[in-house]
Amino acid sequence: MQVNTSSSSKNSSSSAKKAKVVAKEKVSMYSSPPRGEMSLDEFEEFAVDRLVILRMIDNLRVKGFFKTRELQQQVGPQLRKLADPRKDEISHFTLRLAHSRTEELRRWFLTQECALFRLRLEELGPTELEGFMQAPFDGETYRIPFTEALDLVSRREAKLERGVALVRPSKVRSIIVAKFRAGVSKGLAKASSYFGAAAADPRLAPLLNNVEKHDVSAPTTTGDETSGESITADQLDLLSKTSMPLCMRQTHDALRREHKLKHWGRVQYGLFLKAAGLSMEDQVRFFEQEFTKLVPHDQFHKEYAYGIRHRYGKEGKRTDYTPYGCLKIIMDFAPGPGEFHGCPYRHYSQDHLTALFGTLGLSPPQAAELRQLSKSHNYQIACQRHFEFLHPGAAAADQEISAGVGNHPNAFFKASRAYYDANNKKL
Amino acid sequence: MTEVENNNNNNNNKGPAFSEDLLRMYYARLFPYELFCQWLAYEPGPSPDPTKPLEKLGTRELCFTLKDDIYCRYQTFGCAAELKAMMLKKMPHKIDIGAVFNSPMRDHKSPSFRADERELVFDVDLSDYDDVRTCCQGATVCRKCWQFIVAAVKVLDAILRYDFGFDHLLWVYSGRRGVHCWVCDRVARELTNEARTALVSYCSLARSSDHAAALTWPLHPSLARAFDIVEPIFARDVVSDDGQQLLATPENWTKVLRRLPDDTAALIADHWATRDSTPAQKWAALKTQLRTTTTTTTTTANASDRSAAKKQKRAVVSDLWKYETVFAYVYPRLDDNVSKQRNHLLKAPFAAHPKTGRVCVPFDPTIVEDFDPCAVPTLGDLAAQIDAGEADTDLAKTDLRHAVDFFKRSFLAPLLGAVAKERHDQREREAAAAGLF
Ligand code: SF4
Ligand SMILES: [Zn+2]
Repeated sequence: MQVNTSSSSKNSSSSAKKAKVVAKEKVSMYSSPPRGEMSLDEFEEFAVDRLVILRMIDNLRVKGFFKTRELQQQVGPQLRKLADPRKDEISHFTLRLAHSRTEELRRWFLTQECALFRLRLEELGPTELEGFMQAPFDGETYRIPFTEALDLVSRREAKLERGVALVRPSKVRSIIVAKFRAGVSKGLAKASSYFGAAAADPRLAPLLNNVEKHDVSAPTTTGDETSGESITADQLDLLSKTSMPLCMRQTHDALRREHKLKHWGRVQYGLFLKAAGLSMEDQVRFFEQEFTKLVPHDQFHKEYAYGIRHRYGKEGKRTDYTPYGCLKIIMDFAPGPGEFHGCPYRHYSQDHLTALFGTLGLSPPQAAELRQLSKSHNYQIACQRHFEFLHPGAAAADQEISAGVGNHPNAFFKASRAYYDANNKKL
Repeated sequence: MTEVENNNNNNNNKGPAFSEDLLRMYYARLFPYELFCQWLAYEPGPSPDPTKPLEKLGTRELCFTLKDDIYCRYQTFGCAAELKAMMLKKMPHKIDIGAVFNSPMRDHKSPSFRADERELVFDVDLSDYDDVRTCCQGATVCRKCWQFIVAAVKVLDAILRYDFGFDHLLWVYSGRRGVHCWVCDRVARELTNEARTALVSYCSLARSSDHAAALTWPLHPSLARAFDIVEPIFARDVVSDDGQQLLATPENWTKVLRRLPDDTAALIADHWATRDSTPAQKWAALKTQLRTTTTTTTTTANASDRSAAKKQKRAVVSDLWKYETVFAYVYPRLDDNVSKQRNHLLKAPFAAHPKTGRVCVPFDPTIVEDFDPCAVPTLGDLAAQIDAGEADTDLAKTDLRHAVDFFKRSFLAPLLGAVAKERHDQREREAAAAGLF
């Protein structure tokens, strides 16, 4: 099928033109919908195949895989499914329409499509990329209005001359992505205006309506870290002291103290709370109560509530996200300034730890032991020992009650709850 | 709002700088309503009839803060006469300007109410420099620390003009310890929030003296230019004995040396401990020292010679030290939240600061080093000048006339000229399209 892409540039030489055709075959800008006939089965099958990929990208990004290379490793093999340009275009336009229904769906689709587009651009060489560019080129740099090169401008990666960004060919990817984003964003707005008409067609309705609930994969397994019981928001202050590992206690205290928590803090703590048995409504309420001491309610709902619901699988794609284990937190969750996630044993300085231990009610030898363990890089053992200090009589190594303490924050939590349950029963 | 800072008052007026009566006098006799409205209406041509409503004004938000901090958002006015009546009636202690919205203010609760247009604005305040100024803290300001503002104005002005191509910049004293900049070019007014955020990030570096921004080589041309602009200010007003004394006492200069490799720092500290030199000489020596490091490095054209290439890289990185050091003190520190959103409020030019009584006067950025915040007239000064003066108009009797004149001649006239030209070009294009030419 001949795919109609964007208007052709006037000044491209014949070789550039060829490269452009090749590039566009590999990576479409989806400037206009494909024409021709297709069967209803194809229509559905194509859309579902693409949806699987988009959700996969989303899931990886929520887990912290942002780098193109990381994503490529995971998503790359799946991309073959979209290799056929016709299928690629049809599935894109179908999902574009399906996701045009609400603002949240539009945003979700745009984000994932841009990530996918970026992945595919990565495979193109400089000549192929040139095919996407229409700006004047002087042999060294493209001259582009700065408003079309915001990414490069914000990172100071292009020279600016009176409002024109001078962009080297090695940097054009972000320009192309920005253009792609703008195009798809406009397209989504347009699609939303005829969504109603399309969804009224009984043959299309099942796919177009509730695309976000469309089940495309085997149900995700719930990790056995998940606590069976449920807890409520007003228990959290107490639980943070009795039953949470130090990492979560820190994010909890920070949230209470500062009435805010940066992205990774919200992710780390939010997923933990979810698995610990806090309901979504309670978590939204809990974060809202703190955040709205600083930001208005409507801003909270716009910027943060979505993320929480998303982590419960109630927004965007509907997978359950699993909470992070210690290894991930220790390896990948180093907090920056003003951030409170990460593993204290791993990421805090000795001074910081000393000060922190002083507030935990530990005896001096206990504090010294934890400090020593952290210093010798035995972070998880430190965490187990802390568990034992908090729960006298319980050995963290004891398989019965506390297997997994030091491997997973929720295992810590679960073991602590079991400990108290057992002791209460004894009473 | 009762306490008024009356420090550093160079003028002879001995009464209060700000009061309800003074404010009434100012709003009744001096505030330049017509110029103010001409600006916000972007309406070229001869001075419009002050009672005729102007198109753009009707959807522009003003926010008044009344006595006792009562906040009135979404105030609206159609013309200069209306604005004057409103101000005299409400007597706002603070006046902020918001965005031009897509519908009248009464619709502000509607979900489709949105900011369509707004000048790109910047706010630089000395309170963000408290970790590097030794002369004053908090609200106070003197000519020594004002040099940080001088540096910020010069750097930002150059970025906005040369890098972004903006021409219509209105620089305004904020009334206390900082400045605002209003970029009024059409492109700037129409920037999306996303574009504003990117632009602000282009203009900013990580701040504070201990956490210098880590720069990379080669230096971006904008930063290289900024260095050329601010380094002399750093040498004159930051290191010196009669400035911030950064290289004037051992205690202070260890802070600077801390950012060098240990052995180098020790060497220099020893040297300085035993020999007499002025802070300026010390800074010059540091600069030369570092320059030597770079130039003695072998440059190799042979790309495969890895170790030489590495060596050069290390030396070059150490050369960044002087940039990082200077920028940690004198690179502009923006209050970036002010700039990122179309609908962020910002204090209006010609408003008076309720704490100091000083008028937020526009000034010429090319001679910002001559601007003395302590010499800006307060409402009290203006009242005294009117009483003593003998000119034809109230304005002409006061020092405010310079600022009003500057606003009109150097800012408003070129701005409205550009708007007129834009409209003319637009008409021609349309005519050409319609086949009239
Ligand atoms: S070891 Fe695991 S549970 Fe313990 S503090 Fe570190 S990240 Fe948290
Ligand atoms: Zn000072």
